[in-house]
Amino acid sequence: MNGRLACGFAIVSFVGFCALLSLVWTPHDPLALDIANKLAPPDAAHWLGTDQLGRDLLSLIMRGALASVAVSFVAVTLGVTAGVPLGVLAAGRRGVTGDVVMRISDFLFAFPAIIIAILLRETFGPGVTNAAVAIGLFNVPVFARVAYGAALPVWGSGYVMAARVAGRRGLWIGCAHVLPNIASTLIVQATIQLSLGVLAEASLSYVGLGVQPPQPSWGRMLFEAQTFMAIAPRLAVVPGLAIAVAVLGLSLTGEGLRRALDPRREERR
Amino acid sequence: MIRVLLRAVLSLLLTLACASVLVFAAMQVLPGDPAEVMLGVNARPDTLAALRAQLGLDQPLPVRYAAWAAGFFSGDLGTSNTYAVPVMELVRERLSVSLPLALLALALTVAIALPLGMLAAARRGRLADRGVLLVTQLGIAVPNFWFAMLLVLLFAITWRWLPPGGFPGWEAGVLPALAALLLPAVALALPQGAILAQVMRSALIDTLDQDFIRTARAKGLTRGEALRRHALRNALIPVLTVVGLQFSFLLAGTIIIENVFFLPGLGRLVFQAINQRDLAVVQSVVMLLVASVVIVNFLVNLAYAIVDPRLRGRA
Repeated sequence: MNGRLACGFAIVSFVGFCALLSLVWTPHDPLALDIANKLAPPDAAHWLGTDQLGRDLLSLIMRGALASVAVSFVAVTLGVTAGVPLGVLAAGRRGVTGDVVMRISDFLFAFPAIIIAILLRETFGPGVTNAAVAIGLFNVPVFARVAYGAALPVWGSGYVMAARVAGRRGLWIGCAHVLPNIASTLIVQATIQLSLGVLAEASLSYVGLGVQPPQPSWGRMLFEAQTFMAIAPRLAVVPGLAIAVAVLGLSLTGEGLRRALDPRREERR
Repeated sequence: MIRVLLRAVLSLLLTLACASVLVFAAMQVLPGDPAEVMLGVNARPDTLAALRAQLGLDQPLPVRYAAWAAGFFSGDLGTSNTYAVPVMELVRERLSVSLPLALLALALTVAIALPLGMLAAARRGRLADRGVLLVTQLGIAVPNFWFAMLLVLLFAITWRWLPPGGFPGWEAGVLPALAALLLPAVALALPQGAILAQVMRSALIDTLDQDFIRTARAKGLTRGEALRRHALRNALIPVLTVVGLQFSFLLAGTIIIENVFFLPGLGRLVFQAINQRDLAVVQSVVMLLVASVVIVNFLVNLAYAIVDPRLRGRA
């Protein structure tokens, strides 16, 4: 295990642990208002102080991690389930099927996540599901392209030819030979998309297209902190740091995994 | 070449048509009658019916789609329900903020990425390279709207050097207008510049391994000269591609950053229109944004084919 991977994995585990812990325990109720004690600086009872409504900042950050983790995880799952089969299929049967699949993925690429989120909001009304689906739809062509690129040489390899000669069907070959061979590439990409998902969830919640109040989210907290920036900059600094740390952890993990799984690159760089 | 070009244009038109159907359909589903929103709940039924007829809402969906799409592709984006002016006029006004902002951000992105990427590639594996990698990794991890808030905190609230938000308009003079766009552009350029610096670095390193660099060195050029005269130009092809692909991220970023700085650009326009249920504006502006991404990607693909003849069959 290399340094990046260890460091990134430690950060990711810590964030994931905080998110899960917030389900059963937070220092205070993250939704409990205490107006008399608003904008209090950090002390023994509130380690990070309180926000403009007297809510405990640490509890909000912990619960906000949950939203971040959940949304980016759902988005990556969506991207993998829809994108990988498309990419593998397109690589397996080039010709018309492959062309059509890659055209669809090109088409989806024209819609940045924020545009999809705006469209979903206009169609289904506001909600956190929109954010997850929007980021997920954005992930689909990403995984389709990565899977396509990785699967193309595998479909042309000798052992796939041998399996064909042995009478195996395309679906069986795809699952038994192609998928395992492109798995490492996909895992690295999934880690990268997770980190982008955390960033995208924060951006969408910031502009009101993601997690809806009163549910805490890092992006939403930053939006609310903007009004109080001159008197309580702490409120604007802490959630942003949380986002940056989570994203850094995930991208270090992705980079570390890439080096660990593909030693050839390591030598060249 | 002409056949390839024709096929590419055909596929571009097909993509635009599909996108317009999707955008139009998405806008029709949510309950909520724009006529009711404009007149309020106490409006008389016959007034409502009259307004619906005036807005064309009583027509069947395909007719409305055809009218909108035909208008859109001939430059008529419809009329805003809230402002009662042509959407095109609103767009033109807002573009005078968004476009300079995007261009300024793009220029800063390149200004950050080129020197950092060159430095890292020239000192591969050494302290400077590691430093650049660390800085760029941080730059990618920091959300641009949070970085924007920190910039405001520092430069607008603490030091009061630059305005914290808003836009004085180009009438107020070029300098005040640019000053209002500077912090947003820097915030947009940070993550983009970090990504581009990494691309620049690996593209340069790939090129530096090529035979023609060895030849150049053998002819007596120093490492720096070989880098500047030969490697840089060859490494620019992947870098330019990434600049093109970054366009959609730049666009999404602009929408968000405009909300941080209360800039009256296209991004603010979309969100104001969403809150006012001004469907005509949301629909046309979203379609405009999608079309711009599609067209930029098309141009990038075309540029590929022109630069690299091997790719012509696939454009």
